[in-house]
Amino acid sequence: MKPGMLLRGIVAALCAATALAVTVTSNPNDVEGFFEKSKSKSGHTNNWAVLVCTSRFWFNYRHIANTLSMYRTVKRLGIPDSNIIMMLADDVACNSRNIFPATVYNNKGQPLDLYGENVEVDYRGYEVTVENFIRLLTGRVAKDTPRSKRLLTDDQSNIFVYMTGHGGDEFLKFQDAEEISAYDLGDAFQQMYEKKRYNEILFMIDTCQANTMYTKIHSPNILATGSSKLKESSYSHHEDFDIGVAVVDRYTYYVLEVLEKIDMQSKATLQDLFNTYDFNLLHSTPGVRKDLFNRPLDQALLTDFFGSVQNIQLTDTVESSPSPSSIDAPLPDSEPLYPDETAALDNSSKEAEKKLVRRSLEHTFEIGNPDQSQTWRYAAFIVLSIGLAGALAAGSSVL
Amino acid sequence: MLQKTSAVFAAAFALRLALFEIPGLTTLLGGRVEISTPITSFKRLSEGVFLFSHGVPPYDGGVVHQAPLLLGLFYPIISSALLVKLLYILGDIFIGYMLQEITALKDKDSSQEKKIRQYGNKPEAPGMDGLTVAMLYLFNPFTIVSCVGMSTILFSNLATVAGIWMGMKGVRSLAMFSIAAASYLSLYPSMLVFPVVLLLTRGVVDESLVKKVRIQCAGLYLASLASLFLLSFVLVGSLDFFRSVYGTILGVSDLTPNLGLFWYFFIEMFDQFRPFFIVVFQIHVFIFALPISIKLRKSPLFACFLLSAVMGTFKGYPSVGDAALYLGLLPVCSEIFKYMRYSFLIVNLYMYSSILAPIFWYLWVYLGSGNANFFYAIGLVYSIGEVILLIDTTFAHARREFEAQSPPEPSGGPDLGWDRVVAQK
Amino acid sequence: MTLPKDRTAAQDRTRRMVLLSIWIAILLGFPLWWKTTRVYRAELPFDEVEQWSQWSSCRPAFPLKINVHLSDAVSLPGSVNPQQQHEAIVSEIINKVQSSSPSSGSQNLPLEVVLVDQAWRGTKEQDILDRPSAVPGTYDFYISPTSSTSKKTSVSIKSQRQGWIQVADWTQDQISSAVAETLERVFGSERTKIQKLLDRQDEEEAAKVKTAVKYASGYQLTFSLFSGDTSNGVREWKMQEAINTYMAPFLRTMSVVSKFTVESQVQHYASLTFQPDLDATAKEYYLTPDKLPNFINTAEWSLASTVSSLPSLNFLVYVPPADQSPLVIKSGPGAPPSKTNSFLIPRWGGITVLNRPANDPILTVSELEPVMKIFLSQLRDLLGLSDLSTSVPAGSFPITFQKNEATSMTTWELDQLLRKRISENLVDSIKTLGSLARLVADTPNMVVLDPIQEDVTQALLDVKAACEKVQGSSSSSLSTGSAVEEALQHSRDALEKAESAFFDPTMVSMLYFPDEHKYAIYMPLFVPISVPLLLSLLKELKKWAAAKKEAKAKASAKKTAGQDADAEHVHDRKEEAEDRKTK
Repeated sequence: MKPGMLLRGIVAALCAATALAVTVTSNPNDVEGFFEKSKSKSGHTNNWAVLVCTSRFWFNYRHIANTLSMYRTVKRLGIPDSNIIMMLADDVACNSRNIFPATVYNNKGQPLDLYGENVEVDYRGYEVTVENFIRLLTGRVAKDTPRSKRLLTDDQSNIFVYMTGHGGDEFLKFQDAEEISAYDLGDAFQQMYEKKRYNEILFMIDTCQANTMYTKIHSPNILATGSSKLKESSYSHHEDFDIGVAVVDRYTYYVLEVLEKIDMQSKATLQDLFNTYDFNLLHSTPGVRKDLFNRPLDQALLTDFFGSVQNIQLTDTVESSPSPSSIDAPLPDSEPLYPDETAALDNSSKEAEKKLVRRSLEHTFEIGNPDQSQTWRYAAFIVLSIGLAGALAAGSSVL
Repeated sequence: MLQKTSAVFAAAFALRLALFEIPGLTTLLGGRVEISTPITSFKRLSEGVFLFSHGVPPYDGGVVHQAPLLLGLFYPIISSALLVKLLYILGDIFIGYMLQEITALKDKDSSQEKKIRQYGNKPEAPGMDGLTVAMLYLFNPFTIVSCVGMSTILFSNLATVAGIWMGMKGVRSLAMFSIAAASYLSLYPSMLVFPVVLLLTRGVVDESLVKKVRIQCAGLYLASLASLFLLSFVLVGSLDFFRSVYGTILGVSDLTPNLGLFWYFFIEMFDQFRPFFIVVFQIHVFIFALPISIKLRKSPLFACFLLSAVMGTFKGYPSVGDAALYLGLLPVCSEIFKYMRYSFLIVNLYMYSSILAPIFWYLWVYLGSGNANFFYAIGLVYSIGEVILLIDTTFAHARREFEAQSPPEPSGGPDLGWDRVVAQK
Repeated sequence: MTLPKDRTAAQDRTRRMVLLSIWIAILLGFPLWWKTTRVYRAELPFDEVEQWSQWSSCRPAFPLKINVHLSDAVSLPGSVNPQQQHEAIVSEIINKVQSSSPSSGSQNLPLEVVLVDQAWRGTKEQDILDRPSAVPGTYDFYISPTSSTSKKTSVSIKSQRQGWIQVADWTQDQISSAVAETLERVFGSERTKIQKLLDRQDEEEAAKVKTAVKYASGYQLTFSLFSGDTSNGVREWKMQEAINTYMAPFLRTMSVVSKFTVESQVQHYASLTFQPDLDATAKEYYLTPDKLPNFINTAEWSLASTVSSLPSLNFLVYVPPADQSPLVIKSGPGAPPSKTNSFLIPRWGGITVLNRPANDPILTVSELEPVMKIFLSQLRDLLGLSDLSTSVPAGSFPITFQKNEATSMTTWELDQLLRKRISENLVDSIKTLGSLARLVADTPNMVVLDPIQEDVTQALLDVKAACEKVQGSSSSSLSTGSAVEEALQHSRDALEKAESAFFDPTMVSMLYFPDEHKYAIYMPLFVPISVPLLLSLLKELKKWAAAKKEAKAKASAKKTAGQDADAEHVHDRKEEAEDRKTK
């Protein structure tokens, strides 16, 4: 009796499923229908990445290599340079101790040059400071900051924030000179939430005692993961004996192993990534903070953060537009960017010379006749000084 | 005696002239941070004179931090290197001469006082004579390098010592004018108004006369300052030199490293506390003026020395030129030397820091294998030496006064040193 | 030689004067300490910001004026004066509108229904089209009996703020209910949307992926041609002419809302990051929709604008190389291809794939016509223009919307966009100001400079000005056509000012600086300095107190001694007197 009912239930379910599938797939408007089903649930329309390496000096080669590996990954998965902010506190590629100049490798044997072509570093050297980082996140940059150094996110942006360097209990050291505390980070994210500057954030940090750094975040839709817990250090993976220093950290190395296997269309989820965390390989306890994240991790795709998968909408209707005959005047031309270029060609050389001459003149001071004015003034000064001296002489005899 | 004097001064003159002639030495020494600071650098002064001679306001650029009258002094002579060198050498020589005169006047004073009885009822040995004092100043390596490096602290020292000399001589107007000139040039010598007034009124018993002299001196000081400011205004045509000169001295806006305490501290300081700590540090310099003058009103010369040493240690931009000043004033009060306990330590600290400072600077700036901590540590050692000098000389002076009031009594065998038993009367 | 007592007294005096001089200097330093460590905070009008978030002083309501033109062509049943009849109809309309609108949104978009005195004799469509309304917010509804033979009520909304209601049954009741239902259906959904927006109840709305870009006063439109390789022959395109031909009217009409800068570029040898699949039977290459998100080869295609800082909208035309032509978008090998071969990336722009014969090097204007039509519809979506016909709920009679061929945009849509943008800007400004107020209140250590105060005050003034122009009290302000546009300008200024105050570079809150750190700053210098000063002061005070007590004791002892001495004196004198007596 029971198995019979069970069987009947299964058959009914199957019928319903096929019926559903049939109705769905026989939708005449097939393309749109297909797309509606596979719309990403994350609700973001663009992806950004903020990759920060906070250490300088040659022996922190591995931190630069970590950051450049992440840069390569997000670029490969589709985030354009205009949406990546990379901060490197030191330049190891052109360090005089680098025997492979202009290259950065993250694996011994130098298989893959991370620095080779098409690398855009937005904040470099001493520009990587706590203040600049917080300004970048909260959007309070100076008014003349170029576009490539701003985080122009909106409320439908997913941001991947990666930080690496030397850290400790609720702090991360910048450039050996200052620190950012977990409170600062939490405040910055809260500011971003207030101003709706993100849809979701994946915060990944690879330092010693990294998990303490995300304990003070209190804004929603942030998923955080770190490489080691309180009182634990994160370790480097291996050295390259030719280069002479460690070239990659363990946590980043094993994360990259997962990320290198996916491509733009991958459906791998964040839970898959977190499932690969293994203390025996990492020699530290990585952590995940998911209480602020609203989606289940096994539905959040890796490409939601590392790639640039966008929600798209297919266009089905078109506007009718006027026939060419019923047109009025065309749009006005915009002003030329470089007014000098619009000078007529035959006058251009003369004008240019005149302009050049005038410009060079503008750099000299308004002198007038210096000797005359200074001489008068100096003469007055001498006369007055002599007067003062006389007064002093007279006074000294009296007092 | 005259022969010896002229020999000493001629030797000092020749030495400085010879050192000036060594090619590159002036530039080398003028570039060292221990010798020239942003407010005493000759390079900045010549920049200012150049701007001034071309009709550009010299204080607009933020480079010149020296008083306008120095610009006026150097404007006609800066094209002639010989005249400039002669000016510096003669300035140094004149300071030496003034120190000699001060010592002579001091000896004259003390000859009229009762001799202090030393142990065994012996009268106290006389201190150094004027020529020795002048020699100690003229051949002090600090003085020489400061002169050859053409640091303009020389003029401030010149005015300070002139004020003390005139104070010893009793000429009120010139004394006050000199101290006003010194304050005008580098602000801190204004502390010396109090001991110089005490010098002018030393030995005067009449209270009302003392008060009258004090009021006159205050008026003279203010009048001299006003006239100096007026002259400067006439020279550069505006009052913006206040902000550049005194604003920099007080606000320590230029944090070029030097042998002092300020620069490292304010590089590390949080911005919101900076004004507060500037105020604290500057008060720390000026707060000593009144208490020291009150306490040491019977020995104003020593008060002058103490305040010069406080100035040289705690000011915003100290240099070895400031050390030259108080190390030159110290032998004037040479009677206290026998009571000083740590002279060996002090001499070692000075030598140690003088030798290591250039080395650590080189390590930090040129080689890059040291960092700012190295150089600042040496600056701290130097300051410790100065502070121990301050403390030790104060102790020695107090000890001497104590022994003057209650001379030691012999007890038992003849003991040397200060572990002899003293019976209080 | 001074006596020891005098010497000690002199020493005491000296010591006290020295101590006093030091302490006076320190006491003079306290006000300096207060002044130099004070954090300068300009006053911000927190209360006003709070008031605005409750809309307590003014609430944008967007009053609309409905001019009702009743046709005189056919007379109404009943023998009453036609004018009175018309007025009765209008008052019935007003009653029905007020009773039918849900109470929640009643205060938004209040409709002022006015009867136009001048009778309208027309029955034909042409009579209406000759009299367009140029005032945003004022709409003319022409009501006439149906002229067609179908005898069904129908409504046709024309493109210039006009509507033509043809009522089947020409009675007072039917007319009024038809008009009321039309008004409710046309404006009802907008009313609810704006109310939800203003009351911040639009959570589910906010959770949806939005296509439209955030409002800005200027946009940069970039039209790019990516040509696969030279095998498809495209060298250049006549985009400037095409824009002037097809886009210019639309952009000009939209310039009331925002300004536009248009640029175009051509990039050759642009390749995709993947190979499209081949459908051998249909002899075409196809892209499945799940590949479309990675269509743009961001590594090689340069799309970021380097020149302007305006928000940019990109429109791409991709002409595939000959060995990948024709390229269509479809879901699988056997499925029908997409009609338009284009797709839109929300808030970014639109992309279309253009297949063309490979012999013509120039993309002519006529070839670009379908492309421009696609781009226009995508641009409409990106700018937030919504097609009215999709938002009007179904009812008892059909409402058709006429499109504007010339400018691709009807004035109804423009008005709706204006109202939406004004509401959004006002809500955003107030939210930003609220966040700013919260931030300033939460960090007492942060400096708040005067420019921020000015920006906030100015923003609030702009909010007030904008709100006053669109609030529900009087619609007479609407008689001037520019009230809504001015309100938009004010709301835009308010948003800009609020954002510039919030994102001011000086508002970086003091990096984590707890009070314990302050102790660490003050203690190392002041504790060692203050120890000898305080101890010596205490010692002096103790001595002074002891000396006072001693002096008092001495005075009282002297008094008694004096009495004794007096007694002695008296005694002595007595003795002397006695002696003298005895002598």
